[in-house]
Amino acid sequence: MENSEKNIDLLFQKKFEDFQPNPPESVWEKIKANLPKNPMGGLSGTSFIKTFVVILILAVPAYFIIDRLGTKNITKDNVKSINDSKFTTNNTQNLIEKDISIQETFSLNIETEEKSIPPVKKENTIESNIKKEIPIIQITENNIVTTNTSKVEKQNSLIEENELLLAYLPQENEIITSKNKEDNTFEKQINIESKAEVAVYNPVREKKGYFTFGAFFNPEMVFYPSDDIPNKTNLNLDLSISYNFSKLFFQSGLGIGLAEDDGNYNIDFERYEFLGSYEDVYNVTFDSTEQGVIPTFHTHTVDVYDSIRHIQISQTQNSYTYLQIPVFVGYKINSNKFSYSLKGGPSLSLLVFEKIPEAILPSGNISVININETNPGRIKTYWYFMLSAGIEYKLNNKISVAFEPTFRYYMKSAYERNYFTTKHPFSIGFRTGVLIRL
Amino acid sequence: MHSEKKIIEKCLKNDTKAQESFYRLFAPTMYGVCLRFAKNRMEAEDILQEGFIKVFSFLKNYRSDGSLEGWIRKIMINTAINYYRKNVRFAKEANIDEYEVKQNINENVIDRLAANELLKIINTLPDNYRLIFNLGAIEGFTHKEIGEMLDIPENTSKSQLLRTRSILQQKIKEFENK
Repeated sequence: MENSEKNIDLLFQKKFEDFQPNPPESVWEKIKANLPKNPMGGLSGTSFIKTFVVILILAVPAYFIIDRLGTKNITKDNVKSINDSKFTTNNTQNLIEKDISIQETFSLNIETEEKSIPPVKKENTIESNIKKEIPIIQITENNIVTTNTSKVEKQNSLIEENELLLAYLPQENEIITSKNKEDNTFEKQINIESKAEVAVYNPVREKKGYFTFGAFFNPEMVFYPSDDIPNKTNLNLDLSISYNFSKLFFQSGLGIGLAEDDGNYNIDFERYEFLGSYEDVYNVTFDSTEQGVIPTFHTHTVDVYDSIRHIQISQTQNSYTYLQIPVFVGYKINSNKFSYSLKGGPSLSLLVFEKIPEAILPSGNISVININETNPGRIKTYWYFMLSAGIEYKLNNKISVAFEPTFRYYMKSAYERNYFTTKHPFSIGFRTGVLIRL
Repeated sequence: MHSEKKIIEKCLKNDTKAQESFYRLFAPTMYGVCLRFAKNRMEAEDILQEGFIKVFSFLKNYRSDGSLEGWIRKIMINTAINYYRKNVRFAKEANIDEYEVKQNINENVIDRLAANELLKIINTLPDNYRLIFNLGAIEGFTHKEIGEMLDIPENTSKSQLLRTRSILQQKIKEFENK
């Protein structure tokens, strides 16, 4: 009997072993419509990094090109009028010493014929304490600086913002002679055939240093390449303060990072449930009829209950708040309304708040046997390194808006090791905000 | 095995092409499973669709130490059970008496029938018998496993499978005599 049953089962199994009919095409269309779409447009994490690096590589030279386009050029002919000049002034050396910092920012260019510089007359003498607009030539051991609209008001002349400056770096074969060192009068002769490089530079805000204050919002997507988990989306808000000097800047501040995880609880429980009912015979009576004795069964319905064991998964949404303390160093190039920057540095993340909801228990009269928490654990402190390339647009002299694609490389995973194997997750974000110059 | 891993990785990144390849690889086998568990083709398609959506949703949980096909099959079976669970009453067996328990069918009769013909017969079974027969006789689950899956006592599973076999034999006979 049992063998026969087994044989029948085997016959059915054999019959359906290779039973593989093709489902209608409409089934796939319906499945496809219900599947989540890739927010990255099918771009994998690795491809995204490659794209980011390529953009970065292209962006950096672009900054310099844009910066150069903003430089005004002058001709050799124009330079000639300066080159052959002899200058005499009582205070020139003093001027030079006071403005050496300006010379550091000059860019160099030559060969075009677009801009003329007022020629400096030979034997031009600048008397101290005069108050009129005249070209000034400043000579140091290494270079010459001239302005066309400077105001000489004192012995230590002040160079105002937006004035036109000329920089000159002397070559090996130029001659510098001093006519009279005692009264600070001297003569400079320059060989026109030397490879003199001259440029005009329009410095904007050449103060020694200034602070900017910023407020930013940065959504980011975190990738765990070694784990089969969906990419995580974090939100970051931060207040930053930067100290800018020359083209370098240091930035720090405080940020808040908001992250969420799916939490799971496996709830093992028993519930007292209705299983069914049966007719219980509580009495039998016998009636004598012409056909014989007929029994009558008196019954009532009895419901059957029992404790049934279940396992149910309760899903929760856990939220975490991190305090972020970054220390960045960067390089910034100003060009009219826009500034371009590249910055990087470490940041410390501290878990300051976490909200992990309790498991939602099933309804009814239940007896919990075990609750197994499978929530991914997060570590309290971790470091990451951030790199960003930003662009700022000046709304006015005080306020700018900034846009920065960011790349974060985590020194270790935000999760405890027993959950995920990725040692160094990374994230791509887009930081936007407002900067106020203090 | 390597390409299987690769296709899973792509599916996890929601690559639509990879998902379609994955579906086309397993859909025929799983559709066969669904047709056995379902009452008709329309319900089988619903189960297949729901099952594959679950497969793609939980693919991140699949660990490569087991058979992928086995894992997908288990999801399909669970989907089918859930599909019929609300309509199935195992404790109260309706219309059972109309089937006499007779174990006298010739096994050659079953052998002569094609899978499609057997499928038609299985499809006519009441939901609870069809589920238990598929789980016990074809998928090879034990009565203890069936009991856990369907939330019924082990003995119920045993008795109902026995009865289902009898019903099937009777139906096969009827089919032969047509």
